[in-house]
Amino acid sequence: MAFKAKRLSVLAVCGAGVGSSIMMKANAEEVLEKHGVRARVTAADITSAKGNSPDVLVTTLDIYKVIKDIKAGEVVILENMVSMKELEEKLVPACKKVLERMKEK
Amino acid sequence: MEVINFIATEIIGNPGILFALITLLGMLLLKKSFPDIVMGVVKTIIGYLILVLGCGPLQSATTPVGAWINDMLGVQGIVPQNWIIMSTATAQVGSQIGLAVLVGFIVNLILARITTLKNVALTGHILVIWASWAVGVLVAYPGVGFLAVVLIAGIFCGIYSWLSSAVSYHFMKKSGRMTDEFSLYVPEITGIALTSWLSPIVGNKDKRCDEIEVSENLEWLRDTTVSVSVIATVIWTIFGLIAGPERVAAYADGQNWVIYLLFLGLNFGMGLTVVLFGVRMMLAEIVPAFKGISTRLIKGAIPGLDYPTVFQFAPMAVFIGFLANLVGGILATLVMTFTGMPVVVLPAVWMNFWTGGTLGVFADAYGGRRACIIVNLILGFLAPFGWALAYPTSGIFSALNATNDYTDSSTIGLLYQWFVKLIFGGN
Repeated sequence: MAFKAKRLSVLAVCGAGVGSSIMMKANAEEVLEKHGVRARVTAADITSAKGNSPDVLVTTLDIYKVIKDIKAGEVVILENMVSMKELEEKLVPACKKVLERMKEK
Repeated sequence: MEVINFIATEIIGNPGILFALITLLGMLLLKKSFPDIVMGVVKTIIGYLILVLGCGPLQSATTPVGAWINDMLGVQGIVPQNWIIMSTATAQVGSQIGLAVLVGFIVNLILARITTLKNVALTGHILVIWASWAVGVLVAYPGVGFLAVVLIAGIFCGIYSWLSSAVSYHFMKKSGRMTDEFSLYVPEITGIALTSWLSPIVGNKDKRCDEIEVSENLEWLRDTTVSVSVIATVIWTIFGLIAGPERVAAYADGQNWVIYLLFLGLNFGMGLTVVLFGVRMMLAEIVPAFKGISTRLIKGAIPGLDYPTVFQFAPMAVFIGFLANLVGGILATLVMTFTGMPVVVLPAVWMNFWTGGTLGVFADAYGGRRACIIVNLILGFLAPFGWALAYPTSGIFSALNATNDYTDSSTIGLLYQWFVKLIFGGN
């Protein structure tokens, strides 16, 4: 039976969860679609991000300091939260890592 | 006729459905899959309903503070908080707002397409907040019909968001310390321009904020929902204590007055969290659609984005800017209280963080840490006087004890309100 990739969960987090994280979500969806990674991307603020356990967490360093207890498969820390290039370089390998781990199981 | 009437009042007149239709349109243009579209549309409607739900607690937590100030000093006490403006207006005249956002976005796309300024504003919630305020000012004048409200507010918002993104882009690029890949769309262009001009005069751009250490114990302030609840509780408790047990008990509905007072700020934080949750659900699908459409239609489009996208350029300046801006705001409240101004503006807190942080980054780039502190103190102090001046002409918000609290609300916003009054306010 052919391996059918599961839809990954990606969580993008910013301070209030209404501006930058939604933009990160839009960028992540574009990048992942380009690389054929099936994922559901959601945006969240610091307060509601806690308690989630996404496959991949995407955020910036200052925010990560406050939410580092989150159990995520992989953590992607962006220096420039709106750079498509940086997102592509960091998010795609992170997603592939998670998918590899799932296949092994 | 009946069909048209039904569409106008029951479909376009229902903001939840209208916002869902805008999402649907965007997702269809981007050729999204059927399950994605169903999810996006349903989430948009539920997000709108949650947003309206959060409006009640936000208002009932702000009314008493204004009333105590009124009772003690005989002046109007107002809370600067743009989410109150947005949730109140979308609950009352949401359809006009939804359509004004759409018209504004189209105007922005046209301007970016035909001129050399390729800026497209994509900060979804600010597009809605700014339209909420522009519509709420207009609908207070009985002579302005539905279509006129949508067109005037929409065209104003479109031109404003385009220009605002272009101006912030200019100052970000010119600083040489930020970026030329994107810009900001935040209603702070007068603040950003003033900061970029003033900072080199008052500061030294080689002595930057990042050399200063801030204690890790203050990191929790970055969780803005928590910091707003805590600081609001502190400030309102102070006002409640000055007002005294009797005045507070009058609003406590039988509850112990001290407990009631402590929970007032927490209820405010709760209302804010609910509103933000709804806004996030509503915009999570619309904004990516707006982004997709703008990149397809405009070659080399420069996105205008939200406040924290510039925080990376000087993280410490964000913190120092926030604190200096907050101190400026508290000083303004004190001066207004003791000089007997007819309107007293309470400290904003929420926007002190976003405005102060962003102006802090610009001040740091143009004038280092001294500018970051001095400029934020000055602008944090001056802006509330503009809001106080703008309050009486703010349309449906002038009976709300609340105001929009961006720098531009005290400058461009004030001019817009006076202009609307001049045109439609005649007898």
